[in-house]
Amino acid sequence: MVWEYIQTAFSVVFTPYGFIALTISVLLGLIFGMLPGLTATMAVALLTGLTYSFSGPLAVMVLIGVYIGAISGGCQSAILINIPGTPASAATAVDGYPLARQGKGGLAIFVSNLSSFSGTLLSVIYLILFTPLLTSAALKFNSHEMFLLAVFGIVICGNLTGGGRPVKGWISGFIGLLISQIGRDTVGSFARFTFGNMNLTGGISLLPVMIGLFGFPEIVNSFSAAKRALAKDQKYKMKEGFAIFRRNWFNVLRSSVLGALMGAIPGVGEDTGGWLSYWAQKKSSKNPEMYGRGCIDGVVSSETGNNAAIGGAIIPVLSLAIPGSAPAAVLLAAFWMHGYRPGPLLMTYTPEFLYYIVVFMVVSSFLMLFIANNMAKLTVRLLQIDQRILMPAIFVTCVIGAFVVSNRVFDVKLMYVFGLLGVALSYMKYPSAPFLLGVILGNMADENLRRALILHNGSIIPFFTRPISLFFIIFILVLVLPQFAFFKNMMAPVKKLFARKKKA
Amino acid sequence: MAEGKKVPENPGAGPQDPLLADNTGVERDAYGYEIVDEAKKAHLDFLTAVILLAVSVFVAISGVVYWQQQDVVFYESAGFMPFIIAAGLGVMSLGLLKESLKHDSVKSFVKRLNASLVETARSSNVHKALVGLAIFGVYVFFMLGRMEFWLASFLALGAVLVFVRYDGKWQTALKMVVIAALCVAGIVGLFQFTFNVPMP
Repeated sequence: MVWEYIQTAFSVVFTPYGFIALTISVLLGLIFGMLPGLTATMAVALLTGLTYSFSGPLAVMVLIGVYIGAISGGCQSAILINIPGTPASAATAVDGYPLARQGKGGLAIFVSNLSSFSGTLLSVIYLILFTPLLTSAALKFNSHEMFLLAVFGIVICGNLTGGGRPVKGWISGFIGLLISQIGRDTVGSFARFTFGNMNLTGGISLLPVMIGLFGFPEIVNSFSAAKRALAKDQKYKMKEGFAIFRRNWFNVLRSSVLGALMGAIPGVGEDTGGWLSYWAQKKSSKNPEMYGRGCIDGVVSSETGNNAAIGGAIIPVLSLAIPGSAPAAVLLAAFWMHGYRPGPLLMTYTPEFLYYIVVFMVVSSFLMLFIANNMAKLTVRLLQIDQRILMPAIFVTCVIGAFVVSNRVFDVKLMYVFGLLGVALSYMKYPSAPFLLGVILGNMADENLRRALILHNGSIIPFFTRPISLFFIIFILVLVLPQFAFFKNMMAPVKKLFARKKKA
Repeated sequence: MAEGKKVPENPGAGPQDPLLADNTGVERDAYGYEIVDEAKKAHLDFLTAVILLAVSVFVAISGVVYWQQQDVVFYESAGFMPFIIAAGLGVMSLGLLKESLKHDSVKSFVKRLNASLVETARSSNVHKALVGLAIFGVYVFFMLGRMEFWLASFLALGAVLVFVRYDGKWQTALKMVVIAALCVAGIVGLFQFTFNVPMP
C-alpha cells in the first residue's frame, strides 16, 4: 500500500507538466526568499491562489516546492548583502556576511545550500519516524514553557551576538520586546503605546522592522566614499565545500534535530530553529570567539536548523492540524482548500497524503540544491557591483518589501524609522538580531505569561514545578548568571577547587 | 570574544581583505573588524544607559497607567508585560551605567560626547550619509503615495546616485541617471509585472 502511494506521488512529480511546475515553484520560492521583504509565508500565500485550479496532489507539490525554496533562498541575500531574505535567515547573516567580505561568499552559499538540503531531507526522516512522538512532546509546551522559550530565545540570541558583551544583546532583545507591545494586546485588545495613531493599533509588522534594521546600516555605509565593491573574487572549489560539510556532519545532525523540534512547537518556527542551532554549534565549538567573524560552521548550523524546521512545522500540521510556523499555517489553509483534512483522522481518510508530502519534499530539496547553486553563480556577481550603486537600488526593493505586508505606505515610513534606529544601534555596537527576535517573540511572551498567571491565580510556583519549564529556567540562569561579577566571585573558589583537582 | 584583543588564526576565515580597509583610521583586527576599546566607547554606553533608563521609567509608568484603566488584577492587565520589560531594561541600563562609570566621570563623558558630536559633524562621510538619508526621507515621507511609484523611485534613486558618485563631470551624472532609470524599470518589471505585487 505504502509503495503504491509513493509511486503515485512520483508519478505526479515526473510528468512533464508536474516537473516543470515543481521546478518553477522552487525557483519562485528561491527568488521570494532571496528578496528582502518577500517571505516564505507570502510566497506560499500568493501561490495558493494560483494553484486553485490545480489537482490536489499537484497543488500540494507546488506549495511544498515554494515553501522549501523560500526558506532556503533567504540565505543568499543574508550572505551577500547582510539583509536576510526571510527572518529565518537572520542567524545565517552573522557569519555569512563576514565570509562574503572575505571573498568567500560563493563558498558560503554553496555550503548553506548543502546544509539547507540536508536539513530538509533529515526533517523528512523525522517527519516519517517521529510524527506521533514529536507531536506529543510539542503538546507538552503550555503557556509557562512558551513564555520561557521566548525569554530563552532572547537570552541566547543576546549571548551569541553581543560580541563579548551579552548585556548589549539582551538590551537589544528587550527593546525588540518593547516594540512588539505596540498596538492592541492579544488578550484583552487594549491599545498600548499607540499615541492616538490608528495605524499603530494593529501593531508593528515584522518585515518593516527587519528590513530597516538590517538593510539601513548597509545602505548608509555605502554612501561612504571609501567603500566600493564588497569583494572582487568569490570563486570557490566545490571540493572545499564538501570537505567543510563532511567535517560538520555532527553539527548538521544536531542542528536538524533542534530545527525540527523548534518547527514542531506551534508558533515557534524556522527563525528560532536557526538561532538555536547556531547557539548549540557555537557553544560546542572549541573556538567560539571565531563566530560572528566568518566561521562557516555557523552558516551550516543556522541553515540546517531553519530548513529542518520545515519538516518539523509540517508534523503538527499533519497530525493535529496545528501549524508549527507562519508559512505552515498558510500551507494548512491551502491543504483545506484542496480538500485535504489534516489532523488526527488524516491517516484514516487520506493515508496517501503523508507519502505525497514526503516525496514532494525530497524531490523539492534536490531541485532546490541544483537551482540554488546555479542561481548563486549569478547572485554572487552582485558583490562586484559598486556598493554605492547597488545599495540605493536595494533600498527601492526594500520599500516594496515593506509596503506589500499590508499595502500601507505607513509600513514604509516605519521601515525608515527602524532603519534609523538600526543605524544608531550599529553605531553604538548593539546587535540587531536580538531586537528582531524580540519583535518576533514579544506577543508570544506577553500572551503566554499572562495566560499562565491567570490559569494559576497569579502563582509563579508552576514555573518551577513543571519539568520543561524548570529546565528552561535552569538553562536561562546558566546563560545569564556567569555574566555577573557577583556570580563570578562566588564561583571563583569552586573553579579553583576544580583546577587543583585536575592538576592533582 | 573579549573585545580589544587580536584574534588568533581562524581556519574558517581568510586574511584581511584589502577591500575592507578604509580611510577612517579605525583600528581593525586581522579580519578587518573594528577593535572596540571599551574605555574609548564608554561615553556612548553612558549615553545609551541614560536614554534607556528614561525609556524604561516611561514604559513602567505607562504599564501602571494601563492597569489603572482596566478593572483587572495587575498580572491580567495589558500593562503587565510592558512593566516587566521596563523593569528588565531598567536593571540592564543601570548595569551598563555602572560599568561605563568605572572608566570615567560624568563630567568627562559630557565633554567627550560634545567632542565626538563636533567630530561627527565635521566628517565628510557623515555629511554624505545624512544627505543620502535626507533624500530617502523625502522619498518615503513626501513622495510615496503622492506620485506614481516609478516616478518617485526614479527621482529619489537618481538624486542619490548622482550625489554619491558625483565627480564634477556631466557624463558621470548622466550615467547615474540612466542606471537609476534601468534599476527602477527592472524592479517595477520584476515586482509589478512578474509577481503581480502592488506598488506603493
